Amino acid sequence: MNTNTTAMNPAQLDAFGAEIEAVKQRALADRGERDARYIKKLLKIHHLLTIGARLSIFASLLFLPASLFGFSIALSIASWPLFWLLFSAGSIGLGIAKILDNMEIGHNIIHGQYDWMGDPRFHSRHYDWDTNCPGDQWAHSHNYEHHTYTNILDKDRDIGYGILRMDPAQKWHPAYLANPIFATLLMLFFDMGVALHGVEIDSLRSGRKTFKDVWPELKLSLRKTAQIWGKDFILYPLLAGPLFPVVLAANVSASVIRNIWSFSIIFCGHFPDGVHSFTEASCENESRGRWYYRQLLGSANLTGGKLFHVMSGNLSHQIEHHLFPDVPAHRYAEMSVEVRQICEKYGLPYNTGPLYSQYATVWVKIFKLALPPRNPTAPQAA
Amino acid sequence: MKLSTNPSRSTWRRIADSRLINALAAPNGMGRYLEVLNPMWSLDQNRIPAYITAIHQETDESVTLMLAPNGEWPGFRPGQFCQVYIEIDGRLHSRSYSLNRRAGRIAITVKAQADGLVSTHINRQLKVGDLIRLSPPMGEFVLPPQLPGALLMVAAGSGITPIMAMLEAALKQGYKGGITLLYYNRDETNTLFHSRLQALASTHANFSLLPVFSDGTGELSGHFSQRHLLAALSFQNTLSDHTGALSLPECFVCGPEALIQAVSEEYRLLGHGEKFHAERFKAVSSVSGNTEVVGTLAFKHSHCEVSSDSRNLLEQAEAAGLQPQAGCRMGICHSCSCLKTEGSVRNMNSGEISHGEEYIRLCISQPLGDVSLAL
Repeated sequence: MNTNTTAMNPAQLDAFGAEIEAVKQRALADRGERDARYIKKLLKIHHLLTIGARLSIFASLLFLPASLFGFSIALSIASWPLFWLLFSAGSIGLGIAKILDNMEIGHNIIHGQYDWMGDPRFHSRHYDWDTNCPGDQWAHSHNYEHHTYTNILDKDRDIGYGILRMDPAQKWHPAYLANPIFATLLMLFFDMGVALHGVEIDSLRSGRKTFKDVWPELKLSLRKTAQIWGKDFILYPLLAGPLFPVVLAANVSASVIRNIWSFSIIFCGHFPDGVHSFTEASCENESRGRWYYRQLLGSANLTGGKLFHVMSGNLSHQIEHHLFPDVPAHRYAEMSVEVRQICEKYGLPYNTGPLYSQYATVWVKIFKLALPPRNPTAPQAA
Repeated sequence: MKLSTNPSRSTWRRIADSRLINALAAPNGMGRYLEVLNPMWSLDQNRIPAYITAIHQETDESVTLMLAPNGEWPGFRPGQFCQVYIEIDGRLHSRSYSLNRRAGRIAITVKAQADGLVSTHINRQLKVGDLIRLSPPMGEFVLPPQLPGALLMVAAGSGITPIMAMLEAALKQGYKGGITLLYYNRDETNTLFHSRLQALASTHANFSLLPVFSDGTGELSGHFSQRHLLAALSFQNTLSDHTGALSLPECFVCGPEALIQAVSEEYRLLGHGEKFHAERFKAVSSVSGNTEVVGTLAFKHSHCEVSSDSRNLLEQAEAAGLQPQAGCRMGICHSCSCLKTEGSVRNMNSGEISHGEEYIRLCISQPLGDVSLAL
């Protein structure tokens, strides 16, 4: 990450900010039936997919060789492929449903992108998502802290999530030798990671907060975790009776699929090569234009098709998301055309690339920053 | 989410909405999944889906929608109203309309207001088969369980809708006391339920209809006055049989504020204030236009602070760029209910003052000094 940014004087920043603001106002003024239809359709797809996937998991139980053993050995062997087909379709389907709920539906609704509809089902205050972090808690840690103080060191707790070293300006500590291990654990248990991040559990270690400070929020977070894990890892498996472990395995797979995917997309939003970070001092009394400029330089996009954008919750348009967090996200693709033109006009970089190459630079950084800086006096450029 | 519990809910709805089933559909509950399969399977008790089964044109600018809600509908008492939720260009709007029963269906009658977005939409755009949503019925403007000896009803314009529901219910029950309806309108063609009321008057000897037209074509004209009251009372025996003292009928009024005030004043002067009941369609007007700063208004969740004036908190939140949940904007639907964490506000309808941490309705709360909201 580099901290020396493309220089722009205040007048240029204001002009740039005004053009970006105009793109936003045009989109806000155009909100209406099209956005409502989109989010309703997506919710419908999510619900039908969830129902279908859970039914598929339970249907697979009928084809377990053990269930058919009583009838005939031949039949039980022949049913193996059917079992695996239904079991994997169910697990992957449920994983995709969770991804849709967490990313394109939940993340965007909780951002307040659909508050204007006046429908509690799509309102940020009323919607909760299918993950461990309670929606309202996340609205604070994410919508406010991360989106206001994006990529400001020591202010944006999303830099490294309090456990990873993701920026060379973060002071090295021997514990960071385990950076790749921590990153892998965070990837596999991303749902829990997000929930604990929401209650600032890392501030216990730094001594900034005591357990008593954290407990009220932590309690809500654990209650939500019990609700979601209770559903997936206890209630549904119990419905299968003695086949409890099979349903449990399917639901665990679905959660892990969601976790790996969300982690990957989210880490590609702010950590790829070329993304800038900022110091607290440089952001004091920041103008609106400078704020837009910081959001642009602090984020990176991913290229891909329409389905990929939906599956990433349009966080593949991370730049547009950070410029316009409360504009319905399905509009980012069309808005990005104008944003790119404005960036070109002002000679500003627009960081974008395919998932594999952006993600590769993220993992390179995870490994590289595990090691102490070679020249400890100056922050190295990654 | 649940404000009301419906005792007549069917067994399958109770089971589907039980804790265990909802836990299987955490965090948003089973109803959301059911309504995707069929909107009428919704378990939402606050926004109850209803199909439009028929539409009757009442006058040139008013229609009656016949509605079939799902099993969450708890039934209503004549005179009550509900919030009707209509989606226009992706946005959900709500308005209060009085409920009536007609041909075994729930009926709401809506007059297209000159620049009324929702009322015009209902009149011009909705068709049979469309789905709208209803709040549970509310309001205390209803006939007493034990019907009094005589009834005087006063309505103006679309204020007839709750009165009509009461009137039809009373006559259907076989009520034998005298009912007089004093009914104010511009002219005959703009009169809602004109022929229905005439038919009722001709088939029920105890019901007298007294139309008043402002174009002067009727027997009576002009605004409500003592003369109108006496004309209405002339149909009824108002002297108590035993004592010979003046006994006014129980009075139900629905219409503009000026009419309500005028009738109420007459009843008070004649010493029968307790027999007066009224329904307002619009919130008592606020101290609007007064923009003197009264303190600081802090929106805690949005991390923003503005200087407040005496407008209601909903308007001020919207002026500050927030989009709080809102509905009726007159203090009835509780959509804008929000936790006040600090400070005092005045309830603009009741004058009641709320201090400290309490849930308040933003649309009818006026700040008194510094206020903090969990918004």
